[in-house]
Amino acid sequence: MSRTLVLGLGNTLLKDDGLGVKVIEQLSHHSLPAEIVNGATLGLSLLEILKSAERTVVVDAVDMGRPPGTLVRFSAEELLTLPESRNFSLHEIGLLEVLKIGQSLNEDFKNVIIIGVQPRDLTYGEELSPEVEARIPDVIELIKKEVG
Amino acid sequence: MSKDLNINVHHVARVEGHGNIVIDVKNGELKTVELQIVEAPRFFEAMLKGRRYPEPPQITARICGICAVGHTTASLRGLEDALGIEPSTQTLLLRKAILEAETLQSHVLHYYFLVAPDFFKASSVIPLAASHPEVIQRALRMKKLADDVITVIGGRHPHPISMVIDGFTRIPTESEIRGLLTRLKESLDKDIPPTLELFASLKFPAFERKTDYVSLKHPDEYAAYDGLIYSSETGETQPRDYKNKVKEEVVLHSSAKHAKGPFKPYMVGALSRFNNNHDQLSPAAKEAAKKLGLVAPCHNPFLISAAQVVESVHNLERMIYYFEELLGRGLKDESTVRQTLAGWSAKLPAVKKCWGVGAVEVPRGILFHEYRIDDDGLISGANCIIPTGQNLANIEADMRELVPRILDKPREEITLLLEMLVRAYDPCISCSAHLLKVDFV
Repeated sequence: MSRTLVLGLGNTLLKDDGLGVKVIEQLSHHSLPAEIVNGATLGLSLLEILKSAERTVVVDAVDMGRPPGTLVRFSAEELLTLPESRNFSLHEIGLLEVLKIGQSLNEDFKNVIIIGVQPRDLTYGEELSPEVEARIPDVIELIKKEVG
Repeated sequence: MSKDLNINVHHVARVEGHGNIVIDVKNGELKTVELQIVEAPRFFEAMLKGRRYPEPPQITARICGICAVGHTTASLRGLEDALGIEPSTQTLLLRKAILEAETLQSHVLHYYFLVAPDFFKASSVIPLAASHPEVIQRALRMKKLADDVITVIGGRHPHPISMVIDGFTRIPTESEIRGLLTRLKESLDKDIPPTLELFASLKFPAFERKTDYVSLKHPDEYAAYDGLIYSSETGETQPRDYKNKVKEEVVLHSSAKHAKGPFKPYMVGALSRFNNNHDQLSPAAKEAAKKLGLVAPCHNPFLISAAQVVESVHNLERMIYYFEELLGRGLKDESTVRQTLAGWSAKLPAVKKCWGVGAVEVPRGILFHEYRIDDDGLISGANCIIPTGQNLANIEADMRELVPRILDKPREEITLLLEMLVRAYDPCISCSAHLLKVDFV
């Protein structure tokens, strides 16, 4: 059974970190040939979600040290080339750590891609920075291309 | 012995949030012992002021991504105490079951993913997954089961959405409960024996320091959802009088407030519950304690992890019991006889000025939520006392006693033992941002 997921990640109380979840909320008004999943701040439980799908498009804030609002698309395999964080904990377990654990267990993430936007502000608050907010239509277009 | 030692562990790994260990020994004399909490405080209590009275459960759930059900439950119980609401038996059974599920998933994460790597000489669970895949597969299977119980009862994982004042916005179906029941029994049969075998084979550091063990205590069950506050040193306290037992104190080196008993630091969590209530554990959990050699009263904080393993067995058996009770009674939609109140309810019954306290056992210990509601139905005051805050002073007291006993060991070994001690308490210093940090070249 072919199952495609669009998975939004992030904490909506930490301003731009909430991007993935905000995109997911907007996507529920679009008709897409994919299942929309709010992954919020799930850590390790993401592994089961990723395993359950044939193909997953992850949407998340990604700190790349680039100008705020920069949009990127990369594959899980590209992400897996990076070292994991030393301060491993379960609250901070991010997508990279989840993928690394999965990789150690011989899971394959060829069909996972990540659409990311560079955040500006990760302090407490529920609103996105203007540069990040302005990127949402582009993110949605990109998701539609990916799953269409 | 005269020895100088200066240890500064910046950001202890495998604990939730950011904490530093600072030890300073001059000429064999201990000058400084601190567990520094460097994380920014989050002021949830201030955020609650002025909100409509059913809103706190959904807001305070966000304090934690691991204990969200615990915060929701403590919040609901504090509000219901203030409003004089007594929920139905069905609501109590569902709430007790979801609370057991949350404790199970948190314990599994802690002992398999954060503690076990120390015993396999692995830096984290990632190399451990490569060398012992069957261990990690089992841990993931147990976690998934607990997560699924939370999703079925709470409507969403990790932050439940269906738990509201005086009930649930959605009641699980009998087939959902039956499906979970089968898996819970399977897990008890298949996952628990190898878990016990593994943890019985680990050699925990030998270190004892008797302290004050504080937990809830209930006449009829191993207290989790409710009970009196019980201290192994000072006896019982009513939940509404919690401030007689818990005094929050601001210390310079920590942005998390320390909570101390009136006389000295105390411990909350799995080992305190075990020490105070072990005779009320489920039958298989009592067997598990025997297999692990855990005997009450146990004064070794490193064995908190062993107490968590024992409690996991209890969690599974209690969920089985609650689900069988629920199926026996038949699940009912109670919305015609009770009005549930949620943060998003359009119309709320008028209230008179009132206050209440909810005290609940969550994975890391007793959690207190206190609320004051004004005549206008808005929250005028809130106080949340988190288990880790209650344990911080006790961890420092342990370190103060442990360091002089291990001063002759190599520096790396001292550091590792101190980190293992802090990790044993499973401190949950915060929930942090989950964003990816990526350096593209």
